[in-house]
Order: sequence, then C-alpha cells, then structure tokens
Amino acid sequence: MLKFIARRILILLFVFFVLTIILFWMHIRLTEFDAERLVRDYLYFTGSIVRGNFGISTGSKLPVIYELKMYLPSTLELIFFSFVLSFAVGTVTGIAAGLNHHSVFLKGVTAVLRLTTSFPVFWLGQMMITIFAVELKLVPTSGNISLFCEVPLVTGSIFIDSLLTMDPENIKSMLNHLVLPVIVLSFMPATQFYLLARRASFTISEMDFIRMAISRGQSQFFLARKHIFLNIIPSILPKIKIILCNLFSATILVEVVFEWPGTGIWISTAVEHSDNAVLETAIFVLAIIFLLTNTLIDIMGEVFFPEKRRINLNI
Amino acid sequence: MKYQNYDKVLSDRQIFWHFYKKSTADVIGLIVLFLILTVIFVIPYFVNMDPYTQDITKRLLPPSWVDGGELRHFLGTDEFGRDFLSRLLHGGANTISYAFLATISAAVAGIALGIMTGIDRHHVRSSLVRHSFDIIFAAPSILIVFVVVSILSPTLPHTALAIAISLLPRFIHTTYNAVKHEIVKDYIKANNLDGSSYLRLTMECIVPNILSVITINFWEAFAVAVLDISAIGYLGLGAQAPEPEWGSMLISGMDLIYIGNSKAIIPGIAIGITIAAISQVGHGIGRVLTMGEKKWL
Repeated sequence: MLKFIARRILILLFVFFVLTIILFWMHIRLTEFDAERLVRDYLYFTGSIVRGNFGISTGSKLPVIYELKMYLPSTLELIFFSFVLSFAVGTVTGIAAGLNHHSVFLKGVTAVLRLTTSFPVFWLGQMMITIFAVELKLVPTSGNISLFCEVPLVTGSIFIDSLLTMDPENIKSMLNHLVLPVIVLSFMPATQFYLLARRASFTISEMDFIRMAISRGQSQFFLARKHIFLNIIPSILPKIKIILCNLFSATILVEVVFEWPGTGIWISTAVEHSDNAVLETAIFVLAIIFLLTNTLIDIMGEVFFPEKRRINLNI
Repeated sequence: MKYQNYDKVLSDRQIFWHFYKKSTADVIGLIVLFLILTVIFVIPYFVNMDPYTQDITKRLLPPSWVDGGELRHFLGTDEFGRDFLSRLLHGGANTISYAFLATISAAVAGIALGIMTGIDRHHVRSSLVRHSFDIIFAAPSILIVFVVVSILSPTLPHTALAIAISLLPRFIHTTYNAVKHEIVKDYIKANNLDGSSYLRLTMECIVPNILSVITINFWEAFAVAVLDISAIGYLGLGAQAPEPEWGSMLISGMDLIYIGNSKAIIPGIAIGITIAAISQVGHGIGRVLTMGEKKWL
C-alpha cells in the first residue's frame, strides 16, 4: 500500500512538472525566445506561481490572487452542492432500480433520464429560467444573492458568508438563488450515478448472499442499506473522477447562464480580453485541484478496497 | 432471418443486425440518426438553401405553423432575416462534421499511443507517456478549449483541435487497458515465439481483438464531442459570424428568447436529439459487441 501511494505521488509530481512546462510555454510564447536564460526563467516562474504570486490582472488591475479568492469558492460551493445532491438522489434511485429491474415504471424513468442528459446543460438552464423564473416567478433569474442584501466578503462562498451574517433575509435570498443552478447542474451527474448504481446493484443482487437474505425475508430497504450500498461503492468510486470533471465543465456553462459570479465568468471574460495572468492562474489552480482530487480518490480506493486495485486503477 | 434455414451460413453483419434489432430503443436511435444525417448532409445538395442572404424586411418571422409565418421560410427567419431552416441544416453540418473530425483524429492518435504504451515492456517509459496526458484528463474539457483558443484564435478548426486534445487521454487509457488485458494471453506469446514483429503482432492480433472496446469508446467520445462543440459555440469561441453552428445559433436565439422563443428552442432540441441518437446507437453497438461478457442493463 505504501509503495502504491509513493508511486501515485511520484506520478503526481511528474504531472505537476508537465503542467508547469505548459504554463511556462503559455507565459513566454509572445516574448522573444532566449535559450540561455530559459532554465532560469522557468525556475523563477515556477517558484513564483507555487508561492501564489500570480501577477496582476490586466482587466481589473487587481492582484490575481485577490480575484481568485473571490471567484473560486463560489464555483466550489456550486460543485459541492450539486455533487452531494446528485450522489444522494442518483445512488438511492439507482439501487431501487437495480433491485426492481423488471419494473416498467423504472425502465421509463431510465429512458427519460437518458434523454434529458442528452440535452446541453446551458439550454436546460435557460429553459428552466424561462419556466420557473420568468413564467412562474418562483425563483430569481440570475446572480447569487439579491442586491438588497448586504453580505460582507469573508470566505467568498455566498453560502457560508450569508450564514455568518445570521440574517434570515440574507439566508432566504441566498437559498432562493442557489436552488435552480444546483438542480440544473445535478441532472447529468445524477443520471451517471443512477446508471452506475443500477448496473452495480443489479450485478450484486444476483449473488448468493443477496438471494440468501431475500429468502430469509429481509425487506428491500434493509437489503439496500446493509448489503448493497457498501458493495457498490468500489464500482462507483473510480468513476467519480470523470463525473467531477464533467461536472466542472458544466459548471462553467451554468455560471454563464445564471450569471453566477464564479470562475466560469471569470475565465470567459479573461479569454475575451486575452488576460493572460488570469488564464494561467485559473488553469494552474483548477488543474491542481483536479489532480489532487484524482490522486486522493485513487489512494482512497487503494486503502479501502485493495482487492480492486488491479482492475480499477491500472497504474 | 430464420433459424430453420440451416443451409445458409450467416455473415458477421447479419449476426450483428440480428442481435441489434432485438432492442427497439436502439433501432429507433439508428433510424433517427440516419434521418438526421440524411437531412443534414444530403438535402442541401438537392434543395437550394441559402443560409447567408439577409432580408431586412422579413426579420424574425415565426415558424410557418404559427400565425404570421410564411411557408417560404419553414422555421421562420432570424434577427437578420436569414432563413432559419437553412441555417439549422448548415449549422448541423458544421457541428457534426467538426465533432466527427475531432473524434476520429483523437481516436487515431489515442489508439496508436495506447497500443505503443501497452506493448512496451519498459514500464517507466510507458507510464511516463501515459501519465503526461493525465493533466489533460484531470482538466475539464472546457478549460482545455479555453487554453487552445486563447493561444490560437477562436475558429471552428481550432475548437475541433482542442476537443481532439481533450478526448485523447480517454482513448489512450481505454486502449492501454484493453491491450494489457489482451497481451498476457497465450496466442500472443505463441505469435511472439514464432517471430512476429511488433507491427504484425499489433495489426493481426491485438487490433482485431480490442476493436469492440475501441468502437464503444468512439461512439461515447463522438457524443461528447458534439456536446462540447456546441458548448464552445455557446460561449462564442467556436464558429464566428456569419458561419452557422448549433451552439452559436443557440446563443443568438437566447438573446431573443422573449421575442421569439422558437429561435432558442429549435437548436437546443436539434442538439439534444442528435446526441441522444448517437449515444443510443453507441449503446446498442456496445450491447451487441460485448454480448456474453457483460450484462447491459
């Protein structure tokens, strides 16, 4: 196990090296090429970005690190909430569907879910805004909190910040703004979790110990809770990486649709203004976050399910 | 096809179709995909369609079945008075052909790299090659497109290049796993002892046996590529005006959603149905090719 973790960390360091090379090339591609000071420049550049010294944004003339602290937490909270929601909903319904795979109703649910996830998330978001915000007036159309609420910037995440103010008006406004983007974002990962959990629990439900439990007269709820849930985790865990990756791509688009002040809007304006410092920072920070998450998930799989390693990870 | 007819030996294609048509949903997906491709790529050759001519007197016409619509413009016109149906078909041709281009180039490069690293006995070297692409795998596809488009310029071919780069690791990893699974088998060892070269081993033994994995992966990647191309068009970094493309048509329709909502709804439905058909066909092909190995629920 220790050998595995050490190898994983070595690979992480190597990938980090490749990432800094790419960023360095992005950084110097417009300047004059000077082979003599290339290594020294690279070391200086890497040292400064590792220490969090990202330079100044040409758009807002603010230090990039300051903008990062403002925008990154609100993206992460969106990802976090939709991930939790989709994992809960997708796994529970997936287990129910796997245990009752002959049910016509659940087959219909599967078909509808597969069809829904084929539609692009930005289009679904806009349609939801048109239906629920403009026609039914249930939720606000855009933004992350009402303009009338005064929330000081503490962590950057509007959820935590408005809870810290302890004002029920702020919290209500925040929840109203949060609900629609989170639901729109959750469609895709929820379907993926649903399909994974359904297939895995169907495979497990044909095994002898489940038949034994059924013939003992256990209820389906007990089966799902005690026997199935923990046994399908190893087949879901390696897929979480790719689900998170897709979720982030969707988050950028949904932020643009809902005008949620997160990294999505930050990056797309940086591309429009060719704001290199912002772009490099965003790529560096997000890639590091994703690399660390992937490594953590791999190591978790190794620690908790060592027998699955050869099948799932293929290092 | 009847089983009583024993004098006829079924070809591979007939066997494939026999099992493919057992699922109604997959057959519907195939028919829909065929219709979409026909309408997009064949009809413009026979009907005079002009997606570029502007007619300022006929701006924002609704579809012909709504009051005020004209049959000359079946789906109405956009904000410059251009025929919406022509733009939809030309945009679909752009979206689907560039997505296909991106997928096929990613597939060729990814499969070559996957096989190379798979049959390489040098562990460190093959591990380094595979994991240097991990950074792409870790980064979301939209982010890669942002990088490529900001370095080059925002045009459709550059977007296709970016999407090909983002699809590459997916092909490398699946091909590598399939090759590793295949290469320990005895017939490969026998071929190796007979003195086959690496090229012969690859082309005659490994590629035919991992073809099912590659095919399934190809269809999944194709659906992702269509979605990504339209997403980039939506962000305004793909096709540039006046070139029609489904994603950029969608964003210009979104601006008009409270004036004429058909301009925003129709491209979205077109993208959704295309992706649904592609993934359904991929699902069916995967079901038939892995029959017996895996239960497709």
